[in-house]
Amino acid sequence: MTEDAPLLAFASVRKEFRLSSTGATVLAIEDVSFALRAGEFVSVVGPSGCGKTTLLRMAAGMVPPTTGNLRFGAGDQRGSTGFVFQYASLFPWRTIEQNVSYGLELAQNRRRANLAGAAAHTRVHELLDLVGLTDFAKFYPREISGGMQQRCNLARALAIQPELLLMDEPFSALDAQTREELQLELTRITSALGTTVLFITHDIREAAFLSDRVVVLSSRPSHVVEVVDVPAPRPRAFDYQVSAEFNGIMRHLFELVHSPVHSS
Amino acid sequence: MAVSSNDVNLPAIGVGTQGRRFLLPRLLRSPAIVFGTASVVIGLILWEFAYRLFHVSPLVLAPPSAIAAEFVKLSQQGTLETDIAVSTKQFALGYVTSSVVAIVLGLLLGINARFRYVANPWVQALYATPTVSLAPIFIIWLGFGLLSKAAIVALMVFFPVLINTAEGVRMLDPHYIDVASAFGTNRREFFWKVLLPATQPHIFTGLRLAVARGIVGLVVGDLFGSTEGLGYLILNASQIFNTTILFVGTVVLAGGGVLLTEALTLIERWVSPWTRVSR
Repeated sequence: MTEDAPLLAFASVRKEFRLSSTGATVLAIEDVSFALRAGEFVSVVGPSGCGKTTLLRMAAGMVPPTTGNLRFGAGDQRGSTGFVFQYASLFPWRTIEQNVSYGLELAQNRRRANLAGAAAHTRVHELLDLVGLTDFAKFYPREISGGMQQRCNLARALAIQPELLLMDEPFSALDAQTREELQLELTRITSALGTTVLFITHDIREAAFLSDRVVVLSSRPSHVVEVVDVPAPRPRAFDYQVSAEFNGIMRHLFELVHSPVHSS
Repeated sequence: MAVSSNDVNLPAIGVGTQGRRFLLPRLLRSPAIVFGTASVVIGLILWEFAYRLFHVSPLVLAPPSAIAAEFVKLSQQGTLETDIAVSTKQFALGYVTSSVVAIVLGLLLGINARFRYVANPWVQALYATPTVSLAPIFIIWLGFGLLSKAAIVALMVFFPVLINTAEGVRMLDPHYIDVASAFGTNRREFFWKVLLPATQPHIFTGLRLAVARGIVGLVVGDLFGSTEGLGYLILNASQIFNTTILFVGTVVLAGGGVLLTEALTLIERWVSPWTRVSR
């Protein structure tokens, strides 16, 4: 990969949905273009219904754009993506460690695994250690708290060593304290691993704290209002959130998101 | 990072240090077992006392003591064992064959909408059919022996297993489908790693419900013509007005049903240990 080639670029992406009830067509995303460079943490914020999650599902290859396209790296070959869902959609019949190894098992099934069984086991346990779940490896999802389930969700996505980590409001269902704790964990872990992250949230504080850049979308039909840089190096300490710089960025983001001018 | 133990919702069963003070294994000390046993014992005592207190005719009702005595007598004669063996064989053949077919077809019904549309009218019609009215036909087709009785059991067992399995597939949490697709799960992997484990609790519910229905089928089959088996024992007892023997047959059938249902619960806990976590 060349220095400048983005890892993923959305190029004039447009998305229409057909409502199954009335058959009417709804334009969710009008024209969205932005790019992620390798190692970058990019958040997308915007009012609800502006198609944030749809962008993420496009990046995962779960839905195609109506027009426009997504470019991966230098070519069009899709890289591996890890997906962290809003709800800890862990499989309740698998233990925590079995949930984390799900993606690796699939890879092994197809014999395109670069990991033998023992190495996969080691990888899973490194990740459990990284997210602080080592003691709970043999527990079932229902036996642990929502915050721990989201840690497992993160570990499961990281286990396949994705080129790109996609996160869909992963902390929105958690209580405030757990959310802040996991935000710190996430900034530490993704910085340590150098993971490229596309992060969807409706929480502008979360977006500003975690990201190198924040993409602000307008309300439906959405387009990019502005891409806001957050220059402070990552990982950031908790007290960055009370700095003057951070507050300036927050104010700017707040105005962008809440200004009625941008609803085209 | 420290994870406090407060984060963990430990299951209520199995916690505690007083376990060694008791000689009984933990399972036997569970409230379900203790209260259940007490309930049965007290019920039998009340039954026995009511019988003696009100001088009920032995034609109307048999007391537990007489039923127990008759049970021992019939066992010693060896006829009860024969009847139990015959009925067990009929039940096992019908139940196992029917369950296997019903699980496979139920999964297909749940997965494939077109197959569901084709099969639905038949499933609904046959499910609504009173099986009792079909029993004579099975006897005409298959004779008085093992096959006709197993077929009647199979018919009774089929629908609860089929319908619960299909329902389980259709109730699959859409989040699981999202996860599977995000990880690039193919159809075969999805079936074995997601669909089947997610459907397992529903399959077991169907299997448990089917036990009681299968036992009804067993007796119905015997009532329409038989020379041996527990249904025959009951039929014969009613014809000679021996209420005590009638109760022996009934109690044995009920006991068999309870044992099988409990066995299925144990198998489920072993096959899918995660289902017991939530209780």
